[in-house]
Amino acid sequence: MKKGIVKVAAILLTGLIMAAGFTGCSKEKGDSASEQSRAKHRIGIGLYEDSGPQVTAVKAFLESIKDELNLDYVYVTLSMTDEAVNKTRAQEMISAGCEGIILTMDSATEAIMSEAQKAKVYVAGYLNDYDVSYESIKSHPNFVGTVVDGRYLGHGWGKEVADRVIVAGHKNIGLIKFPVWAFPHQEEMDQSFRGTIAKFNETASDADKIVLQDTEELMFQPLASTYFEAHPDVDAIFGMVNGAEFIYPVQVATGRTDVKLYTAGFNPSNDILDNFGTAGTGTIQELVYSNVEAIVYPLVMLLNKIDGVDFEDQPAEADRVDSSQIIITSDEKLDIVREKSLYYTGDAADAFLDGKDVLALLASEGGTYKGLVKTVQTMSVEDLAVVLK
Amino acid sequence: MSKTFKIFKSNFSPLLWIRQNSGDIVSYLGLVLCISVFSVTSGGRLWSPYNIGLILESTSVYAMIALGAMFIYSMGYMDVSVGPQLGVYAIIMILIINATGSLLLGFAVILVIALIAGFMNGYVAVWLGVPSIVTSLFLMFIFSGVQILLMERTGVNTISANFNFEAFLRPEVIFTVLAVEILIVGYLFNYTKLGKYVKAIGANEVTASHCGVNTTFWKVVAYLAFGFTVALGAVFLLARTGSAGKGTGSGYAMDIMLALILGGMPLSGGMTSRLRSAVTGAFTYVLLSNGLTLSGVDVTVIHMIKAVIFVGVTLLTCRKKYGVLPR
Repeated sequence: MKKGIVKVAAILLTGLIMAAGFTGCSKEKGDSASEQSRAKHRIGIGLYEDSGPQVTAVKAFLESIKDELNLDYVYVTLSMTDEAVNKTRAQEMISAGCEGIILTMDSATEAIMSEAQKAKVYVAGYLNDYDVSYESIKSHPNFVGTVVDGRYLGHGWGKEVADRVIVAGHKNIGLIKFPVWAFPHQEEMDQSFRGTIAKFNETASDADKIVLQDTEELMFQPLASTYFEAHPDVDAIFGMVNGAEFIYPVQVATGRTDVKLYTAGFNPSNDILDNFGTAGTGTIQELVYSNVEAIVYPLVMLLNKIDGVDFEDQPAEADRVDSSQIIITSDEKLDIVREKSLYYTGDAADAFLDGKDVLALLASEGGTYKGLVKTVQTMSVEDLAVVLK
Repeated sequence: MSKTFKIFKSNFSPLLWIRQNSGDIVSYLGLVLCISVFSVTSGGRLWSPYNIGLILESTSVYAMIALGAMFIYSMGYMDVSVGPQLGVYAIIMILIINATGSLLLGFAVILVIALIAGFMNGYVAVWLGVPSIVTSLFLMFIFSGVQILLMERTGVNTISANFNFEAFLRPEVIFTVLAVEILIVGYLFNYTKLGKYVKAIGANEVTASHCGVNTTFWKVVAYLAFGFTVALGAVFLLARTGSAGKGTGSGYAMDIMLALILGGMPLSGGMTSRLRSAVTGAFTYVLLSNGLTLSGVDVTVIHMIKAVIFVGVTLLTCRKKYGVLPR
């Protein structure tokens, strides 16, 4: 029995000592607060996943600018489905001493804003359009704004993909999206894509006319393996969902890698990128992702509030701004991404901005709101190309 | 020294006492260790008034449901439908509140549904001669489907209640409701036939039946009691955010099981089941997440630390000769 009790103590202690050990690991190497002119602030970062290339890149970027801005961070993982968990995570960040919180989910938002107000903590969004809550929180004194995952309205990208599909000469196209109640702006992409193709068909000869299939709605599951049996003639797919995850694997499994894929999302795995453009099977023709560095928008807005210094051109209400995206449509653009994109390399040295750049964006350092918005909207693949030159 | 005490002293064996109470010792030791370690590693933030309120608020739903789940787990059973049930109940309450303004009506409706679900879980399993987990799986799929259908009908990702739930989140209210529930469940579990028979079923159902226990009847009663606590938990879950969606409640079946395990509850049920497992387990479960976050532990290793602790406690509290998993 004594052995049993020793085992109990050993296992519990192991777990908790691991916790204590990892606590030690997570402390920064040196507290340079005394050397900084800025006061030390703690920011909470609530991401929608706990690992993956985007998380790696976000953390690498934030860690690379923390000394310049005299910051430290508390990271939590939000639930994609459970509001109560998200409120708890926000409360835990407040408990951990965060003065500002950046959230990637519009979930339990009003409850979180109420907590933030009580605790005098500010909240901002990152790659989060607050589609459900924005109208009710945009005037909230503790909400400082959000940067959207790309463009808030979906019309623009839908038209651009349609133009590229026309130029590529595809004749039979499948469209795939998530349900409108979950992703309302994919409906705009769908409609603008169809509108552009319809306009093209008005003047095209019968032989050149493009056939559009009914839009397939995915319930957050991969495309059904029977899709290509039901639509044997499609020669291209416009995937408004993350095609690398939900469409491409089904193409491989059903032997339909001849169908070209224009899709949202990005996966830096070799299986995807080695079949992009003219490489490999040439299945994937377009990939899109939002810049990790767009997190400077909520970060700067939070730090301004914490510092008590607003921009001279501060908007009257919390804003919802678009961010520029990396849209990869050619081998050359993919090469640029592979060489210099923070998302791909996970190396903060490849970021569009360093600590000094971010510091200069703050209102207390003479930054302007217009300048901040321009910064997060000047991070396209073309801008990457300029950086490379 | 009284005669009674002398007899007690002559019969008392510390080793026997430890063996008989090993589950409790593990759970209390875990809770004390969590509090001790996190008090240091969190830099004292664990004890801030804000964080104490947060722990109480976060624990309340788990503890309320876990208390009812004791009746099920004591029989060596489990209910995997509790998560989708919570989601559906929260959505139904919001729809009723927004239509009528009455929380009471919303609660009454979900209570009726919860009791029907409890009856199905308990009776249908016996009637069909299948393990209870099969009927709870069936209910899980039904409730998951209903949850998605309800949300699709609303046309949005999340719906909110036009109701002020502030009163439900006040620490004194949470504490009072939890205390009353502990008293009621404690009485039922320790001093009534219900408690004795569910533990007897967990220890050996055939023997219990041969001793004259109407096992079917008491299984149904146990599931009905659990249904009541699920309905109560749904109210407090909804009160936390005032909103619900397609995924509300997801993961709660596992959370409740983990809380009970951490509380020293043997998954195989039986006579060593203790009510305090629900409360200490719920607090330990919440404290683990809370303390690790406050201590600045990287999110990527939090799962690993939890896993080590869960595996350890499970192995120490299960009755190995009957297996680990519930029936």
